[in-house]
Amino acid sequence: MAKAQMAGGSEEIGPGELLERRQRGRQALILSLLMLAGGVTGLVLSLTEADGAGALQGAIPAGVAIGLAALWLVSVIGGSIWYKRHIDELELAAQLWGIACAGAVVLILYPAWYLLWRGALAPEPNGHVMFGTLYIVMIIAYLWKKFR
Amino acid sequence: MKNRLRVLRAERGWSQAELGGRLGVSRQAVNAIETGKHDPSLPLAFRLARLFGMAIEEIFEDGEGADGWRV
Repeated sequence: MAKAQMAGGSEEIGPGELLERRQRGRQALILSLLMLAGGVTGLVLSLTEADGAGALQGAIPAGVAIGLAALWLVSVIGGSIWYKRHIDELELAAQLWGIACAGAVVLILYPAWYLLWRGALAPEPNGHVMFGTLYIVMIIAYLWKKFR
Repeated sequence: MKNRLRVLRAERGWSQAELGGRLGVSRQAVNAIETGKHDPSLPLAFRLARLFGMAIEEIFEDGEGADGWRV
């Protein structure tokens, strides 16, 4: 079996391990760039949001809003397509499972919340809460599928 | 789905990462297949069969048979 020498060390790894490591490196790079985009969004939001309105409530300049929305769309859509090319079927299955569970929870939760609101038994359905719930469920379902 | 992947891999002295790299999947995917937590897709099963020079049925067992529609 052909072996490759690791840089700066005596450990030898096979060609398959080398390919697997490179693939993991590419995935880490893509995820790092996406996290950077998220960090930039959060930083710009915190710097431009009007004072005293509470987190995620204050107005931001229209130009900043357009720029952040464009960054979000480009990074999420482009990043997803780019990332999809570098993941295997196990990762894809875990991600699809997470999305499916999150979608199911929202589809089930929202109508119930809406009906309770109409009956004056609950506050009006809140987009932030629904989005946060969706994300939390998606991450939990993804992690369960990936590492169970 | 039960399989002989761990044995076949050990016979060749390959790590899970080595086998994963040769198949184009991650080490975690190899581990998930070996432990029966993930059933490989048909294209991946064919890649495995080609890599080990065996038929798919020689690597994977289909257990007690898949449930079909009741007649």
